[in-house]
Amino acid sequence: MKKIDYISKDYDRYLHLTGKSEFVDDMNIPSDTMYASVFYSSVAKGKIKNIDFKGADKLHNVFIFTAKDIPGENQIGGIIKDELLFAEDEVDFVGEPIGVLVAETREKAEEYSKKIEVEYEQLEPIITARESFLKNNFIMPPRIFESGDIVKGFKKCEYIFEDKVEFGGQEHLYLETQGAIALPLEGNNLKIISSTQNPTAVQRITASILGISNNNIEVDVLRLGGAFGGKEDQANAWAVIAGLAAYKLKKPVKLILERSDDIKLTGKRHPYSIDYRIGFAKDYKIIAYEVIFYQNAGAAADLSPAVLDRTLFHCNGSYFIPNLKATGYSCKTNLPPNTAFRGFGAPQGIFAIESAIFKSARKLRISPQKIQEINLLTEGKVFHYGQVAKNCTVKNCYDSITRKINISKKEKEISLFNTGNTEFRKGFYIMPLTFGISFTNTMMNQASALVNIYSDGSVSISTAAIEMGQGVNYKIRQVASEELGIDISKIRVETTNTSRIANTSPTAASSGADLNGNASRIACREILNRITKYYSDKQKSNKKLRVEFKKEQLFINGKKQEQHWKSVVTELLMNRISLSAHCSYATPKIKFDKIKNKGNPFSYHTYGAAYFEVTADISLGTFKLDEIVIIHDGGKVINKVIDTGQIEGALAQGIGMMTMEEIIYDEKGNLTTNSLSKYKVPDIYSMPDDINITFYQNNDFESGLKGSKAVGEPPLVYGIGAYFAIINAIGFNKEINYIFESPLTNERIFNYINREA
Amino acid sequence: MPAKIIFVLNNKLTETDSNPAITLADFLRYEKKLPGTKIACREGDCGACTIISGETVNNNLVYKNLVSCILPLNAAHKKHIVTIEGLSGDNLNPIQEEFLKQGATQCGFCTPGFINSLTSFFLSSPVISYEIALKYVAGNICRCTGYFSIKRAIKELVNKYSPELINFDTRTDDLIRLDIIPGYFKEIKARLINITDTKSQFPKDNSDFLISGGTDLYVSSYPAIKYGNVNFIESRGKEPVSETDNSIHLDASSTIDDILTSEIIKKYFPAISELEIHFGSKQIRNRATAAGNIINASPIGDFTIFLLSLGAEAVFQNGFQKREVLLKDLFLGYKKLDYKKDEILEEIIFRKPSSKAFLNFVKISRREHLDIASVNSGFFVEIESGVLKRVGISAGGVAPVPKFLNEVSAFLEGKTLSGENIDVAVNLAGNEIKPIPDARGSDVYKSGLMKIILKNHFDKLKKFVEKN
Ligand SMILES: Cc1cc2nc3c(=O)[nH]c(=O)nc-3n(C[C@H](O)[C@H](O)[C@H](O)COP(=O)(O)OP(=O)(O)OC[C@H]3O[C@@H](n4cnc5c(N)ncnc54)[C@H](O)[C@@H]3O)c2cc1C
Ligand code: FES
Ligand code: FES
Repeated sequence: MKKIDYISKDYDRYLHLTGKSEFVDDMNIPSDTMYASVFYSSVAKGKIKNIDFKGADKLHNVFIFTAKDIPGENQIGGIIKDELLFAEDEVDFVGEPIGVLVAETREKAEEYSKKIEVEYEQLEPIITARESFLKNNFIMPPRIFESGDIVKGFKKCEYIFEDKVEFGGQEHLYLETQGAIALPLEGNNLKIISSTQNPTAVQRITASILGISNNNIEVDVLRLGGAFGGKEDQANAWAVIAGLAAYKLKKPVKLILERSDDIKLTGKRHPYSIDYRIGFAKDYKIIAYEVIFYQNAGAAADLSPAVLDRTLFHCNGSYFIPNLKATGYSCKTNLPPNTAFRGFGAPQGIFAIESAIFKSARKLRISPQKIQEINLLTEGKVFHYGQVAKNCTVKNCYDSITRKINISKKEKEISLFNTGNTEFRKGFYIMPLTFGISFTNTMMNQASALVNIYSDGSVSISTAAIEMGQGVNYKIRQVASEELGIDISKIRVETTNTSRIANTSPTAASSGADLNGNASRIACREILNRITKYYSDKQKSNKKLRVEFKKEQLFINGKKQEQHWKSVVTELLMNRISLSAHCSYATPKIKFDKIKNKGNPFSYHTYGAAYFEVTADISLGTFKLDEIVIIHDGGKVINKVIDTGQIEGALAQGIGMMTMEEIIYDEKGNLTTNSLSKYKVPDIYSMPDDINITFYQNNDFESGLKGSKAVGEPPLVYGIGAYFAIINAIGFNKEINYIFESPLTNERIFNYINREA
Repeated sequence: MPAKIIFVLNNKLTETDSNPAITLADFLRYEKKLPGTKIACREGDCGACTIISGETVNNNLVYKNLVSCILPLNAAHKKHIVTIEGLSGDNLNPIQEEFLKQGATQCGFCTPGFINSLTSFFLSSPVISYEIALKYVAGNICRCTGYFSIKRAIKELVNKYSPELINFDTRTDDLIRLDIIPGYFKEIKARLINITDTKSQFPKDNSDFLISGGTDLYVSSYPAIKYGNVNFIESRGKEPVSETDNSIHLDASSTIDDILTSEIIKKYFPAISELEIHFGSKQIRNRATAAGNIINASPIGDFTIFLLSLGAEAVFQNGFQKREVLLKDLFLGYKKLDYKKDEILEEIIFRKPSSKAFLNFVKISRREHLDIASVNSGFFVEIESGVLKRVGISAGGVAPVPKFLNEVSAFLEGKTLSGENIDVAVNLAGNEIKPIPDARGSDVYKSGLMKIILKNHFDKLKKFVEKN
């Protein structure tokens, strides 16, 4: 009996655990469904001279669509309209879709489309950001964030250091590959089931590709098998292509990318090249920091401008820097358009400043902690974009870590271990975290929720939130259950559907629970208000009554009543009072001037600190993570299991990003690390057996969702600490004469050791 | 015309005429409409498609976890194939419940694979410990949880159930009693025995693909396999490892797991656990064969590198006659072997090591586990009163073939372990290797690493000599 209860409370996880949860490729589809396979460019830059379909275009029940079959506008660009759905005359990256082949089975579609041969006049591709910068090949004009006076600042400095940093990309590797099913409805209408973080984008782009209206397209999303940003903009093309084929053929069309295509065709986390100059006062206070980011955007804008902005917002890391100038160039290259990935540009900015601090510390022969501690942000300090740090707990978290670890004792232990040890070396690092919460495009910080209460008292909630493993549906049910005073098992969160909830923002920027949870609370409160009004009217009370439910029992002005939830629902419906509410929420108090680059872009910041300890094998060039301790300010955490899971998952992804996950393109723009056997993500042995995570007690925080802070992206930044812990181990107490490059693979460790020697 | 494939799928006797060369994952998902088995990579590298396969061996029902995306449907014949659907009732079983409590599922895509691997651990591991449980799930990738919650769940489960699962002979009954597996498992053995063999085999000379485990071929040649003539090599039912007075014999069609965990191998080569844990994943070791590893001739084949250092010999059979080739002479060039199309690799033989034998196996890869080596190397030697005998050093990833370091090995033969000799050996090795840069490392890295690995061999040997 108890078990069944457990299940109805937590049905999403119950479904996953029993293999019953459905993803796009698992869904029951009509028997006349056709299967689509995309064919794409095999060169990074060139002109299309000829397409040989190898007879597939003449086969019965095989259909091919290319750019010329698009009835509307051949354009899928979001922020900037610079990306075609299907290439027309030229191709700009390996994997750029040229067309789609549709057949009766998936096997046939794959087989025929792989046979198609395209002839190109090949042109010289650009692969790296620095190359593109030299050729003035940009996505948009440079972005500059500035505060204080950088020239005067450097004049005041006692020590100045400058260097380069190279930050490598990262593949999302969501386990569920991209996919969609498009179902033609009567007339011109289409329903698209998609594995997307951004159903509204799918709707909007499909409509404009087909030259019809948004209201002809319904997009429905049940859940995603992981996304991490990789399905924010990059899910569009596949859903739109399925939509185009279904629209043309008047038949259901399914398109699922095989992994071998998914990894090749989709963009990744942006690689960055970075130049910096940092200046310190005698007491090691950072006086001035100048940094230039060369972002490798790939062949089209995609989300690169927004990603670049977040790099500029986070280029100070967790430190107060009075004179700062950060310039960002979004460089156009012949790679697949790089895109959103958990952290969204912040890791690149933070890695740069952390590198600057670390290297300077070595030059100054002091510990990096010394520079960190003295420069950490504190209450009331002003960020370079004008926002004042409020409820700023980064130093509290950092200090708690040093106390908890007993750093001075630790330093001695490690020093003892390392001295004279020719086989193994230990190293540690403390990584502070400051991460701004909100879409930096202020307009996107809105959401709405539709709450329906049915006659049996069960509740259905629709929002813009997409469930992709981050537990947003559970959090919404949880706050609705608290708001309404009824059991969580009565509440279901529906699919995300553009016909129920319109003009949605993508589920991204860690904001899903904040925005949609708050919208849901407001809608629940709206219904409670109607119930309150009903009883106030009924009791002819001229003062507003206090009506609430506790464990589904009705209470008026604190007094328990006869009625319970279900009977109240019946009574209100009998009295013709609607029990459906559609309400919206917009994050308060945020604004940002995109010309001056000043304002209050963030609702708040998430803070924390993480301690990493590693042991490196200094002959073979390998390492092992020994210990990770985290103190994380999650506000008033409302769901420990979910938030802990987000911290742990982001941490692992961050460690992967900084160590083993390496993206390699050859000089022709072909992805070399194009399969799971070559692109390695952390496995169960990559992570230590235990982890120590404490939530910082922050009782003063009131924003977010009921005082809890967004948690999806910020902890990814902790992973950067692993990098410096390893560097600390292999170059114990030595000056560093190589450029910091990520990821720190075994090969790089080996090279660094042998360069040091 | 191949005959029917018959097996028990979860609780249901299943017969099919489908092409035996299609993958089991596709068969389960798209023909049997059992979508709980997920596909995320189709190359054996993520474990999302993990199923459990049971078969009778010496009248015992033996279960293992396998990845179904590179498993031919053919391999299901006479087996008990268990998918997540076959483990799940209306209530959660204890493994699932612990996962729920710990938050060990987020997006859920990897989850059925983890549950299956863990269930197969409980079904097949005589010893229930955390460390062994990890081996079973090491082939399962999760991109969401960072594994911490999964590890917590495993710890809880092991703590709770290890006292209940001491007697391996009553394992099935115990697991049913504990609700870890459903009751129908009790009858499976009898049901499998009742399946009559109706399958025929293609003659070998007529085949495009000769498949043992298929863990190489299904990655390199699918879907072509589906359309070609295929010959599946069945296990010959021989002991994986046997010994005579002077030599050890490996049945080439045996799996890597059966060979590396055999008592004989563990007895003579205590260091073999290094190879075991660094070869693929449990799912891969459960399926990959010795023959496949050798004939695939990958320059970094781990098992081949190990055998090379032992001076092993391959025994081929073409139906009429046997042919023996020293492994170090088998590899002629990149994927070119001294091997004829009509031959089957049957056996591998090497001399039994003396009581003074030392073996070291080192593999360095981008990720420590479930990864292809950047460089690997085996070092075998017997010490007779301070003198090195029967020296065999092999090196992978540094040549177009799995390489036996002839010159180095010959140089060290009869020498002592002096610093000078070691230096000469390391330098000699530099002339013998010529790595090619690829996704697993630059040529400079690989040659540098090879030198360090050689030193590592000698360091370990010194310690071994000091201890003995
Ligand atoms: C995810 C994954 C991880 C892996 N990890 C590793 C690893 O860590 N280390 C490693 O070394 N390998 C690894 N491999 C490669 C592979 O598993 C091994 O090479 C394995 O031993 C191949 O055996 P098989 O029986 O599956 O070969 P198959 O694919 O069946 O065959 C391989 C080749 O051998 C031929 N062949 C097979 N049997 C015979 C025979 N009896 N006589 C003649 N020819 C024969 C086949 O025709 C084919 O050419 C991995 C593979 C995967 C998919
Ligand atoms: S789908 Fe990845 S191992 Fe089978
Ligand atoms: S829960 Fe998403 S991959 Fe494991």
